[in-house]
Amino acid sequence: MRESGCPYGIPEEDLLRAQCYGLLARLLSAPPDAAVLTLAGGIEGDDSALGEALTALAEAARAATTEALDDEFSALFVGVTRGELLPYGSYYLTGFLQEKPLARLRQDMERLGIARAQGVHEPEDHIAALCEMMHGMNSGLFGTPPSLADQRRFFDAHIGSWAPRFFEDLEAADSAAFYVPVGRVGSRFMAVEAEAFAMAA
Amino acid sequence: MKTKEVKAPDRRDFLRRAAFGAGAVAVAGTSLSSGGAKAKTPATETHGTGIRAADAGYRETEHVRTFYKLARG
Repeated sequence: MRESGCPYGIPEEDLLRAQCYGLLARLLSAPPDAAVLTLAGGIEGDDSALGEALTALAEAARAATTEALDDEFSALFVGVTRGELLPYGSYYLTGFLQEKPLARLRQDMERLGIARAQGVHEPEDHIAALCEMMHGMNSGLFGTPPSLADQRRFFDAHIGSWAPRFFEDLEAADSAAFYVPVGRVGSRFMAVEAEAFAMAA
Repeated sequence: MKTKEVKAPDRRDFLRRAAFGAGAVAVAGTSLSSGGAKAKTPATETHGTGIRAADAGYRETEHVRTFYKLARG
């Protein structure tokens, strides 16, 4: 694959990381529509741990219906007052929503030049929003990517500290069927990210 | 810096070996990002999460457009 034409001279492997984050962001922010299912269904992973999880996700996407996924997503994340899971950093780190981890995240977002769109009331420490931040940082969507050191600090503080546990919970959730392989992709990808950041120390 | 140069190739090799050799996620991710006709709205670009660059909102620069065009090929 080429590096020429990639925005801001971003290396291929960081663009691919961005796309994995983008995929997770899309799947975790709303139930997949037919277009997303078709795209996900076309993924072919290799024989690495993450690749196997991606292959399983693609299989699940090919078998899924949007109607069933609407119900599953609702049971997992929405519910009447709450879903089975609460995918927020504050909740995983403190046991409560909208806590200090969210305040620290907002500070770091400001430093990195990331914001929440007007009219969006969902707290920024939702797993989908965090994945979108990593996607934006590495795809050129938010301009020049932050340094690897800044990205690592961001990841360690706001994602690596809790998202692996969330993805485990997602894989094991009673309401999860399609979202089981989503959880597995998340778990395996978090492990890749953590290990890769450690190499850049 | 020398230290960074020595360690970066390890990280890159590792990431390449860690499932991205298939390049298949690129297909999904690119299309999710660009989304065809829907690609122009920030909401779609941000996968519905409402996250965006802080200054002047989403900027679809020439570089970004070129990337999506090339990556689709």
